[in-house]
Amino acid sequence: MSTPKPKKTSFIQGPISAEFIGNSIAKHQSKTTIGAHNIFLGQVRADMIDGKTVAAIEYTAYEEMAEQTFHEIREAAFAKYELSCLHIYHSLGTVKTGEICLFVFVSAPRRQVVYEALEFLVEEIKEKTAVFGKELFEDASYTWKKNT
Amino acid sequence: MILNVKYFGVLADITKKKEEQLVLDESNLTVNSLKSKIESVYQELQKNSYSIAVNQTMAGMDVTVKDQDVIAFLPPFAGG
Repeated sequence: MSTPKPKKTSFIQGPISAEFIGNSIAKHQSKTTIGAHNIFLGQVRADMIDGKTVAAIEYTAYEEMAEQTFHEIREAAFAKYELSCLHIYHSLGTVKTGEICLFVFVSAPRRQVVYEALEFLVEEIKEKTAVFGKELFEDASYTWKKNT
Repeated sequence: MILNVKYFGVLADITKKKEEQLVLDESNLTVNSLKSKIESVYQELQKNSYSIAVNQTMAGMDVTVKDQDVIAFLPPFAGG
């Protein structure tokens, strides 16, 4: 909480588009000390729950707290691994099945750390950030998502 | 004291509100006592597992809350 660095915003309204992901990759072409990127994309799955199929997830968050958590997770990853940069984006609002709701992007001079750092980040995000998902069914009923 | 209480996810479905202001006679009380007070109003909460954050930090049941604190009732996280 005491770090004075400016905080990034990790939340995006709606799905994360392929264009957004492509542009993020392109922005790194000028950073020529980087030799390896690794990307995690979370996609909304059409789970079958009690005979009904999930059509979309509506994400909400305790935004102030979650942004702080993203910040802390980011700092922890930089302390633990030798990374050039990292980016976390998570959707808010409705994301349909097949669309992307989480985009985590790590870059480093060499490849070994990007595998480990990416797994660390995704697991930390799932465990610690105050994000909630309402699984919407085709008949407009819903259930609250539980991470497994 | 006055507390600002926020409810998220399934918990907001139960309370039918996302936030409310509580005016209490006590000048301080523990998270555990506050939890009991809230659960006596919204009894359905007792059937759910959830955590409580005080001023955006996860709080144990013995933490003392004070005037103007922001208390958040958080169901299990489901990001990603």
